[in-house]
Order: sequence, then C-alpha cells, then structure tokens
Amino acid sequence: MRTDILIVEDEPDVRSSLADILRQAGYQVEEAGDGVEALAVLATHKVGAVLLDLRMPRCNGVEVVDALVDPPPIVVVSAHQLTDSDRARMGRKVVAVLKKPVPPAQLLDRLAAIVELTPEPRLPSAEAQ
Amino acid sequence: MRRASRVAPLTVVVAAVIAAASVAGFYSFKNSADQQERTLLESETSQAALYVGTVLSEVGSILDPLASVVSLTNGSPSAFTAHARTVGGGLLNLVLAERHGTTYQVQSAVGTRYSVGQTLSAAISATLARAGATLTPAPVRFNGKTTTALFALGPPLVPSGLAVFTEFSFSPFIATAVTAAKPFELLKAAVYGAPKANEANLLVATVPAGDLPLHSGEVMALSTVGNAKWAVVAEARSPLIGAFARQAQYIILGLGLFVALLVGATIEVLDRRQRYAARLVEERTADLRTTLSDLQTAQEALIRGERLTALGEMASVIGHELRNPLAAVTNALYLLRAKLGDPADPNLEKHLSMVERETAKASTLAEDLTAFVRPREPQKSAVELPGLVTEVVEATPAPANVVLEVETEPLSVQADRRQLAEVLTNLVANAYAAVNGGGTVRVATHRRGQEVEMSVEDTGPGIDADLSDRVFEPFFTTKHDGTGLGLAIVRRLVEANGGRVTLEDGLDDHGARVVVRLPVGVLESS
Ligand SMILES: Nc1ncnc2c1ncn2[C@@H]1O[C@H](COP(=O)(O)OP(=O)(O)OP(=O)(O)O)[C@@H](O)[C@H]1O
Ligand SMILES: [Mg+2]
Repeated sequence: MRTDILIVEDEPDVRSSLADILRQAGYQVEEAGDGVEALAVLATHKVGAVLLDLRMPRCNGVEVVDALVDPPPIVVVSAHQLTDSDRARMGRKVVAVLKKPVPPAQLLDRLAAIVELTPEPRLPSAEAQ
Repeated sequence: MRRASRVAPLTVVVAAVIAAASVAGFYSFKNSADQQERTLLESETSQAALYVGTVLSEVGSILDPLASVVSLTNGSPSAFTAHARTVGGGLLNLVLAERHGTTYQVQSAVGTRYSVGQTLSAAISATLARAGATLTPAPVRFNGKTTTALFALGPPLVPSGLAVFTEFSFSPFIATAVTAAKPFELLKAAVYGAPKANEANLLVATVPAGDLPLHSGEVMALSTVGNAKWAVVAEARSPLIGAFARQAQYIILGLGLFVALLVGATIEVLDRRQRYAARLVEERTADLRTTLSDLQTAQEALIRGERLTALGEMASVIGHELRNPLAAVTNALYLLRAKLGDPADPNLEKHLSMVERETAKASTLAEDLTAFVRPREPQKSAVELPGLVTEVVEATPAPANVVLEVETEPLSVQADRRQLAEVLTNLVANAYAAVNGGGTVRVATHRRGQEVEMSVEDTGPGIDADLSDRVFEPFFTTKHDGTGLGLAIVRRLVEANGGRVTLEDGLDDHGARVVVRLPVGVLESS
C-alpha cells in the first residue's frame, strides 16, 4: 500500500485536525499515535513524507528516525526545541523542523515542495463535502 | 573629623614635663642669680659703709687738735675760740661746753649756732656726757629738710667736766648730685646716723627724698663712726651681676618652653601619623567588609538569578504544554475558515478573525515562554559576524518607514552561533518596535582592543536611566503585546558566551543603543 503522508502525533485532537487539513488539501493520510504505530505503518506502506512529533509515550520521534534505514523525507513538527545532539543523530533524514503550532498554510507550502500528490488526486473541495 | 584634631595625651604629658623642667630651671637659676645679686649687693653695701665710717672719722681730725688745745690751756675759752677759728673757718659750729649738773653750758663757740652761756639741750648734754677719747656722734637728726650731725670728744682728752663738739647741718640729698662716684654709682644708698634705718636719723642719701631705701629687699650694713654704729642701707640701681646673668633665667625659661613645644609637636606629628595609619587600617578593613557585603549581594543576586531560572523553566514548560492545544485550535480554525469560505454574516467573520488573531498571539507567547529556558551550554565556534548580521536582518524584515543601516567589520568571535543569532534577533526586534512609525536602526560590529562590539541602535525614544536595569528582568515590558523576555534572554545568552550587554545612548542622542561585547575571536582580513 502507499500513502502520501504519515502523521505521527500522540495528541488525538492535533492529529485528527491536521489529518483533516491534509486530506482536504488532497493528500492520502495515515495516522499513528506513537512511534511503534508509526513504524508499523512504515513497514506496510510506501509513504511520501512523515510529519513527526518528537515527544511521544511509546518510542519517541528520534528513536523512530533511528530505526529507519532509508526513510521517506521527514518533517519534524514539535513543541520542543531540538537539542544539537538530536539534530546530529537525525542528520539528513530530517528535511525540516517546524515548531508547533505551525500555521496550516505554511505547512501545506512546505509539504507541496516535498511530496508529489498521488496519481488520483482528489479536489480539496470534493473532499470537503 | 573631630578625633583627628584632638591632641594626643602623650604629647600633653611630655610637653608638660619639659615645660615644668624649664620652669624649675628658671626658678633655680633665678634663685642662684638672686643669691649672687644679694651677695654682691652686700659686699657693695659693706664697702659703702666702710667708706662712710672712714669719711666721718675724719671729723675726729678736726676735733682732736681742739681737744689738745683745751687740755693744754686747761679749758681756756679764748684759746679755744682762737684755735677753732683757724680750723673751722667759720663754717662749722665748734663748741667748748662745761657741765653744770645734768646739762652742759657753752663756754666758747664759733659758728652761728651757739653762743656763750647757752644751756644745751638734754639730748646734746647726754651725748656730751657719754663723750670720751673716741669720737662720739650724737644721733643724727633729720627734720625733713636738713640733717644735723654732732660729734663730740670728752675726757680724758679734755679736763673732766668739759667736752668739745662740732655740729653741722646740711641737706641729706646733696649727695644725690655726687652719686656717680664710687661706691654709690651702683647703689641707691642712705646713711642713717643711728644703728637702725630710721628716717629721723637720715644722714645722707643718694636718691631723692621719696625714694629712700628703707624697705625690704635692701641690704643694710653698719659702719663704725667713732664709737657709734651707723646704718648704711642700699639697693642696687640695676642688676649687679650683669644683664646676661639676670636674663639667663628668662632665656632658660624661654628655651625650655620652646623645646617643650617642639618635642610636643614632634610627638603629636608622630602620633598623628600612627593614628593615620590606624585609620588607614580601619578604612581597609571597612573596604574589606564592603567587598564581603558586595560578594554577599552578588551571591544573593545569584540566588535570585536561580529563582528566575526556575521561573524561566516553569514558563518554558507552560509554553510547551500550550503548544499542543494551540496547534489543535489553529488547525480547527483553519478547517472552519475553509468550510465557511467568506461568510456572508459580518458578525461571524468578526468573531472568527478575533479567534485567529488571539490564537496567533497565544502562539507567540508560547514561543517566547519556550525560548526563556536555561540556555544550553554554548557550543562555541568561530562565528563570522557580517554573515550572522546579514542572516538575522534578512529573517527580520524592517517595518515600513524604518531605514536599516548595517555597518560591519570582517570580524569573528568565539561563540554559539545560534545563540548569538537569537540575541541579535531580539535586539533588532526591539529597535524596530522602538522606531515604529519611522526612524533609523543601525546594526554595527567593530573591534575595540581585545573585544568585539556588536551594537544595535535606534532613533526611538530610548530607555529611561531608571529602567536600565529593569528592562533586563524577565517579564518586564512596556509593550501591550510584549512578554518582557527579549532582553532577559539576550543578557543570559551573552553572558553564557563570555560577554556582557550594556545600554548606552543611541542615535540622535535620545535613542537606545544596546551593545554586546564579546572577546575577540579570529580576526579575518577582508
Ligand atoms: N530599543 C529600545 N528602545 C526603547 N525601549 C526599549 C528598547 N529595547 C527594549 N526596550 C524596553 O525594554 C522593555 C523590555 O524589552 P524586552 O525585549 O525584554 O521585552 P519586550 O520587547 O517588551 O517583549 P518581548 O521582547 O519579550 O516580546 C521593552 O518593553 C521596552 O520598554
Ligand atoms: Mg523585545
């Protein structure tokens, strides 16, 4: 299976509202509530990009990145400042670090540059109905 | 200071001892001088007395031949008269008297005073009765104007019952005219025709009537006149032992007091020096105490700083915890807005934009709170300043009507690049806010000795001097939408990087100028 974007976020409200926005923008979205779930999705899907929160209950964001050998582009979206050692650890696998709360328009701009939409894009207006 | 001007007790004691010693010296010298003076006066007076005795005994040489004539002629009055005329020359009263009972009668006389047959007074008769072979003076009589002296000779020089005498009167003060002669040149002297100094017996004086030496402090000597003793009383006209000897005592006193003063002053100076040293020690001790209390203050400031740090950490945690709710709200708002499109109801639109605006503010606040966390250990590297400045000013665009001037020297400092960027961003943001509505902001980097100055100045209203410390406190702000964390973060980061921040006067001398000074890193040549 393939999907455009995987949202890894432990906070359900944040996760679902973000998923709605992305779907409305035409992306295919998968959701994961922690690092373990995220790794499961990544094992079964071909993912276009990952929106990754860092602080999560089971298996945090940095560990997820560590576990991936050749991951899709990762965008870190976190309430926390990255320490320099975190940065060094994640290295090139992370393409951007965004601070919560990210204005949705800005996030969409970033993602547009990273992810190609899937072959059968749906119009945002159609999704919104 | 009152304490410094007080004379030391030691000074007083030493000066007093020396002064006392010199006063004692003065008196002992004065005593010995007085003693010497008196001895001298006594010898002078004795000499004078001897002289008087000698002179008066000459009277005997007048009377002696007359007595012989009387004896040879067995009391012939005519022979006496004839002879007396040749001796006395009519100036002296020369008398031959004969006893009749208890009184004497004049037998023969030359001079104006006595006449033959005259009965002599009891006083004179008493003298004549006592008269013998040696010259016998009657007590001299002074009536206030003239002195009368009488000298007599009696048996066995003349036949028994007879006596010869001479009497003369004169002013005792005639002598004042001739006192330049020895031995009276040095003395105020008076000779009394009696063994005691009694004005009634004044014989002769070398001073005017009112100035007779009769009083204490005078020296009396007795001179032998015939068989009588007459008093010679004298005092010195001027010190006999010489001016220097007389004044030596004063010289001693003066010198002594001077030395006392000198020694006193020396001791005082030494003492003051010592007191000065003591005061110096006191001051140093006070300085030390001040330093200690400064240290204590610094320690308290540190503790306060710790408290602020704790506060900052709490703020940071709150900031974090706000982020997720804010993210959810932001997302939901976005979805709402997308669903509503451009709502026809203006009220709905008004409320929606208010929520959006306030959510944005809350997001900024959360951002600031997060930033105010205890800084990580700075990871220093050579930070090239012109590049850093460019990066920051590009990321923080100047508002309309604000002119930005950048003036950089090719310098680098050893610092944490990201922290330095945060510092500069905060300063530039403050400057833009200050000149809001138009003005100039200048960002400059310069080298000053071993330091690099990075300054951000503006033409805004400046920062009040009494606020210059408070603006660095976290949460101090004068802006309605400020958090008051900007400068607190700036100071914390700069100090963590080994530098310091100061406020100075800015452009057009009322704006603000914030200067960050850091130790110089590698100097790059352009
Ligand atoms: N360039 C300046 N000119 C005049 N006043 C200034 C300037 N910079 C700072 N201040 C004063 O110092 C106060 C504290 O500044 P600080 O940067 O710490 O907080 P803030 O700017 O008010 O809020 P924040 O930076 O957290 O958004 C400001 O509110 C302002 O009164
Ligand atoms: Mg500020």
